[in-house]
Amino acid sequence: MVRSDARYPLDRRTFLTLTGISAAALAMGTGVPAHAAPVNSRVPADPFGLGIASGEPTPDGVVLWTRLTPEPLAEDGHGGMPPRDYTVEYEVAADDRFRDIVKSGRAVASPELAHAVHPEVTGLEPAREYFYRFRVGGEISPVGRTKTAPAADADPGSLAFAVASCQAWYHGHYTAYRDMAEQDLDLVLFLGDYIYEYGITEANLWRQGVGELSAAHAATTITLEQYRLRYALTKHDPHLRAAHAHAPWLVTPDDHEVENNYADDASQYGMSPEDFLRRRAVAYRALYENQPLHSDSLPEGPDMRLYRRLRYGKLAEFNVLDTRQHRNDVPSDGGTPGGEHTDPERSILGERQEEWLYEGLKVSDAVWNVLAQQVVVASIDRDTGPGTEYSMDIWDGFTANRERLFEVLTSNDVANPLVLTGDIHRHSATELKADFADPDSATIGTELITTSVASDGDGSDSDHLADLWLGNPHVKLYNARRGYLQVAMTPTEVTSEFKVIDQIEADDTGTVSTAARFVTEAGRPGLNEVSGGQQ
Amino acid sequence: MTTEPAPVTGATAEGRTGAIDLSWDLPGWEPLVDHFAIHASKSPEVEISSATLVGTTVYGRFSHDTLGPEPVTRHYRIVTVDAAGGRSTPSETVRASSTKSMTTYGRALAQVGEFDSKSLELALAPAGGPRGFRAAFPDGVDFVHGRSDPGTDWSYLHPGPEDEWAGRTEHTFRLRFTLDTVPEARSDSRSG
Repeated sequence: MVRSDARYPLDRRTFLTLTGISAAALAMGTGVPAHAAPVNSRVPADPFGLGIASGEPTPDGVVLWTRLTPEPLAEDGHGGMPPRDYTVEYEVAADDRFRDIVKSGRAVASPELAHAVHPEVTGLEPAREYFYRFRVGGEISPVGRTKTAPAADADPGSLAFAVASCQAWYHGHYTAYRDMAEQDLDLVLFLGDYIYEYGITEANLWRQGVGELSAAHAATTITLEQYRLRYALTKHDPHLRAAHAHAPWLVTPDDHEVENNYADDASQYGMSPEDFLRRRAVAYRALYENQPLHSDSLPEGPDMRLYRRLRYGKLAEFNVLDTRQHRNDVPSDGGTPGGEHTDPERSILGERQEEWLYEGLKVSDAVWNVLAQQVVVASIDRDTGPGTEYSMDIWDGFTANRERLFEVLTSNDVANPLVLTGDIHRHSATELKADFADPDSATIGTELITTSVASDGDGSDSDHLADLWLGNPHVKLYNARRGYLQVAMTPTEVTSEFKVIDQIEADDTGTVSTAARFVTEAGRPGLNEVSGGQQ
Repeated sequence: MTTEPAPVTGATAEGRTGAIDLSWDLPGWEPLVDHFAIHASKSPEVEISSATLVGTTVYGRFSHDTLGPEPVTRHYRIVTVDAAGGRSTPSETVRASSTKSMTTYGRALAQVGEFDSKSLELALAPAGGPRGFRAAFPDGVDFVHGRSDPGTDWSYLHPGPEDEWAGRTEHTFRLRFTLDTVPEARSDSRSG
C-alpha cells in the first residue's frame, strides 16, 4: 500500500505536501500508471452495480469513474464493501474489444470515498473515441465509450451533445436516457438536480413497477449515508447507467443535491449556517463520490470547486457555472421594483466566479460561448396582468449580476452567447434581450432550457403555467412533458431539438418525439423554429 | 484500515414538554463526519445498539421529540460515524427529563388528534401537504369540535408566509368549540 495514513487523502493540500503527488493520486482514487499487479483482499462479487462513467473531456484525456458496490442499496451507504482499501485497475483502448489498449493504470478505492475511483487519464489523442473498463480482483466492469475534446486550435466541423436535468427518481422512469444512449453524442451536459433530498413515500413514488422500498429511503437525506444511498438508488437505474457509459458527461449540481432552494450557507428551512454547512459538506462529498469529476472538485470541508471551463477547439467553450454555492441569500423584497433584488452588490455567481467568467469570455476566440448552468437567465414576468412578479430563486433575483454579464457580452463582442439551463421541469427557449421590458431591444444571446428527465412525472404539452411563460414575448417555447434537449452545433448554426416522452410513470417504454426544433445562426442570436417538430 | 473518530464533547441535554433537546460541539472537518448516532436509554447504562438508536444527524443538535405528555427521564450517548464507516467510542452520558404537559392534569375543553408527537391521524398526513394543502384548504382550516373530522378537516401542517409550496401567504386556522359557561380564568392550548 502506497499511502502512509488513511486519514489524509481528503485534505488535498496537506496530503500532496506530505506524500508526493503520485502517492496522493493513487490514494485519492485519481490513478497512476500500472506497474505490478495489485494484491487485493477478496473482492465481493458483482461490484459494478452502479455502472461506470467518464467526464471532463480535454484534448488529451478524460476522468473515468466507478464505485464498488456489490450491494448498491446497503443502508449504511457503503454499498456492501468491507471497510478496506481495494486497488482498481483500468484500461483505455482505441477499440471496444480492447485489442489496442493505449492506457492502463490503477487507483485505490477507499471507504473514505465510498470505494469510488476517479482515474484521470491523460496522453490520449484529441477528438477521438475511446473505450474503457475496470477490473478489481476477478471482476470486470461493463465497457464504457468516451471521447476526448478536439485540440485547442482545431476547427471542428460539428459537435453533438445532449442536455438533461432534474431526475427525481421516484417521479418516473429514465426513458430519456434510454433514448439518449442511442444517439451519436460527443458529450452529455447535466445541469442539476441529479438526486432529490426528499424522503420517498407512497405519496411521491409515482415510478411504477419498482416494488417496495425499505424505510431508509423514506428519510429526507441529511447524513452522508443517506445521500450515498440516494445516489445509489438513482444510479442503479439501467438507462442512466447506459447513458453514462455512452459518452463523457459534464455535471453541475443545482439545489436538490443538497437541499431545496439553498443559497450558499443559508438554508430556507430555518437552520443555522453552522449546521447547514455540515449537511452541505456530506452532500458535496456524496456528489463527488458519484460523478466523473476531476480532483479539482474534491470537496474540502463544505466547499467544492464546481465552476470550470472546457474547450472544444475553436468551435465552443463551455463555461460550467455554479449558481448555488456562492449566491447571496433570498432578497427580502420579494421582487418589488427597485427592491433589494436589484442591489448591485448581489450576485448569483459570487465575486470570484464572476471575475473568472468575465475574464474567460473576454479572451475567448470560440465561435459559440456556452454557459452551462442551472436556473433561468431570461427575465420572466410571472404576472399575466399589468403588474409584475418575479421568481427570486433565478437570475431575476440577481438583476445586477445579469446586467454585468450582459455588459461583458455586449461591450466585448463575445461571439454567440448560448445559455443552457435546467431547473424548471419544462422545455423552453428564450431570446436574451438587452432590455427584457422592450421587445424591440437587441437580442444578445439565446437560452435553451431543458425539461426534466423525471421530476413532476408524466406532465403534458401545456399546463397552468404556459400562459405565464408565453406571455413574455422573448419566450418562444413552452412544453411541460418530460424529456431532454439534443443539440447539433456547427461553425454556422446550432440546431436545438426538444425531445419529449408521452409517459414515464407507468414504465420505461414511453414514446420519444420532438416537440420543437430551432436553428440559431452564428452571428444572429435568437431562435428560428424549423419544421420537423410536433407541437 | 479505518481509524476511529473522536467522540463528541460538550454534550448537553435539556427537557421541555414532550421532548428533550440535545446539543454538542461540532468537531473539525477531517475526518468528515457521516453522522452522529444518538442512543437513548431509561437507565444510566446506555447500551449502543440498534434498539437504543433514536436518530442520526449531521447537525450539532438533536431533539428527541416523541416522549409524550408525561414527564420522562432519558440518558443519552452519542457515537460519531465518519465517512469511512469508522465509529467513535460513545460520548459521555448526558441526562435530562421532559416536563409535564398540562394535558395530563388540565381539563380538556376540546381535543384534535392525539398527543403522540405524530400526525398520521390528521388530514394530508404524512406527505400530502405540499401538493394538497391549497386544494384541500383554499380558505384555511375551519374545524368545529364535535362535528369536523380530524382525518379530513385538520391539516397535519399549517403553512406560514415563508412556505413557498403553500404560496408564501398567511393561512388561518380556526378551532371552534362550545363552552358550557364562560370561564372566569384564562385557558391554555397545547399542540403535539
